[in-house]
Amino acid sequence: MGVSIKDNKLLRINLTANKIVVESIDLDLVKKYLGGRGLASKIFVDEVSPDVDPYSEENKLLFANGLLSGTTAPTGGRYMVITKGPLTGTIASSNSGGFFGAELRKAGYLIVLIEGKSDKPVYISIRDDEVEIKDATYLWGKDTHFTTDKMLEEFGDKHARVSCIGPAGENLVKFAAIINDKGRAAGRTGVGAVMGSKKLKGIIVRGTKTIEFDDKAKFMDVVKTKIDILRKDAITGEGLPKLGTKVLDNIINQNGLYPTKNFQFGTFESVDEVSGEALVEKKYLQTNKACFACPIGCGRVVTLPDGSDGEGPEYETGWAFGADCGVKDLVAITKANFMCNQLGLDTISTGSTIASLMELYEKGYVPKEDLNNSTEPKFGSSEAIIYYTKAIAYREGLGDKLAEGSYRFTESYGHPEFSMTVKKQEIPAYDPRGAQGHALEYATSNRGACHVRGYMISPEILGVPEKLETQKLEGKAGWVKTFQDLTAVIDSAGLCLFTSFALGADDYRELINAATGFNLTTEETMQIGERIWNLERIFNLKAGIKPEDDTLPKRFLNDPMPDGPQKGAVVHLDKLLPEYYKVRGWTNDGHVPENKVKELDI
Amino acid sequence: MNIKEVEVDTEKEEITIREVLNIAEKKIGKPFLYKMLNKDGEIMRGTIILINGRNILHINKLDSVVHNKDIVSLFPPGGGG
Repeated sequence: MGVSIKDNKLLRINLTANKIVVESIDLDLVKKYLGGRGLASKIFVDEVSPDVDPYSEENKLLFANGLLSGTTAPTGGRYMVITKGPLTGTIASSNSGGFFGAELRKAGYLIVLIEGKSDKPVYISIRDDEVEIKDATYLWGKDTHFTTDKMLEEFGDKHARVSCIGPAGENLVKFAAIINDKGRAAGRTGVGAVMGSKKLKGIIVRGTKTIEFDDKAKFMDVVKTKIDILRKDAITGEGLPKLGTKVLDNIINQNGLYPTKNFQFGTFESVDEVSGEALVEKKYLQTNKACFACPIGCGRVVTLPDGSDGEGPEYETGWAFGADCGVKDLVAITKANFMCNQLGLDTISTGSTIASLMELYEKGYVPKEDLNNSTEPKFGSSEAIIYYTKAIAYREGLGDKLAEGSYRFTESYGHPEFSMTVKKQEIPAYDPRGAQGHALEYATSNRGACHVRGYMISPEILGVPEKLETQKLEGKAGWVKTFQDLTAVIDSAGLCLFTSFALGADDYRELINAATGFNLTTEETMQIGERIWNLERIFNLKAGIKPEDDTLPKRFLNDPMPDGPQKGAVVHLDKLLPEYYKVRGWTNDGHVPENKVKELDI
Repeated sequence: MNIKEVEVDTEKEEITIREVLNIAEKKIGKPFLYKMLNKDGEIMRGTIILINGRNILHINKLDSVVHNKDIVSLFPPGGGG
């Protein structure tokens, strides 16, 4: 059975009322917001009050495919989870690859919207048009791998795909992830905790429909051209498939912005022990792996000496448990990664929260008696990263406080300045002092600190599409706006951000137009991104986030980088931010004026 | 992929990065510059060449001067997030 790419459905499941409804999505809304992050955010803000408590019955949770998810468009397998996040209090949109999203699309759904709250653990079973809410009591408390296997067994079709939470989501860890296909994560912003609050353990789906196009030959032709560009590009055709994301350890360290020991330093002396190169030399890396319809294949399949295996670690994860915690033991780092996948935790926030504990402890702000005779959280301790990862997921001992994220944790000891967060979300693996544009991106990201809302490392460090000087301020605000808007388009189209190393706005426009018959210009395509960005911003402001929250921890504004090539650098947010508000067409104090709302027709 | 460290000896006090790369390629005995430079001998998009952590694109490109004991780092185009 075929379904037109323009005939999109929303599957609404009310867990309080046990009610399932299928609704049609207005094509005009798709033209304005595409799908995924954009469209689901629009539906979310239209239905949910900004002051909603993230764990209340009134909060909603949307699993949203991008417009091209499930098609043969290169990397067309991304889905996003949209809700109000418990970690940040902002609109949360967390993105994942693998195969779950594409399967959901082939079952006929662009979006699954979960509302209400179940009083007992449940999971949702989707077999094309057949949708059921099933008992998950026997799965509650179990990890994501056990849960996935059991759900598949009960479903009776090994081609089905599962997205679920682990104990961390059930225990409302504020940075719990949703894990699909066992090793892929909608990792950030605590979407897994919202799922846990609704007592929803997982979703299993099998889809057998095909997506149809008005002019299939034309779409296939454009797809072929774009795959060709990706295959020939030095990064997407060679660098990423061969080396994966972990090639960045040495690159970022050599450039001097590799955050070490909770961002106290910009270089890590033991980088050679934990880098992507080490993963190969120690023979842990088995092969690379691709998500649905992906010609790049950056994923890493790893087996450790004890026989345990899984996906990862990626660059961010390797850094969070490695350099950020001062740990040089690649086995422990990889094990912590596997644990996060099984327990359902965001690796960046988990590692960085443990790093904040290490700094507090070493500086004497956490008394030894608070450890209750458990592992000493010292920088460099392999035991500590393993111990506290588990303690966080189960909220055991000090893990209960750590499960609130590094901001609330360090604040509880009176020292929030040691939390390396923006809007209470942990900063990823690039010290903002080492790249001024990337620093501005962190400060203004709509979901708290994030590197994939406008990846300025690409021009500032990697030289793509062109090399920008890391410490220069001129023009950076404009670059950040363009990157943020384009990323919103890519997310909403359901493609992987890594395609943007080789493709530009014109390429995405061509793919969208060929699939749908829309006649978007490049300007209109970029305006979709800007519309989404402003929609998210307006929600956040109404939710109580203040423009003053567009900032960074004082460490980056006041303390010059102490070491390495970026020695002496601080972030000049006082100069960058006013320029950013100006290029965004916002008021001087960071609000979105009515004329901007009208111009973008939000 | 392996990490390669090569010491380049020269009698001169300063030489250009272009000269360093050519000496290093001969010394390693395995061609690698074709992956970093285009047909015209210019630095390929995404290639990262650093002298003491500073990208040569912001110094004097391939004519940037290398002094005794400087550390030169080379990375073919790579990416991630």
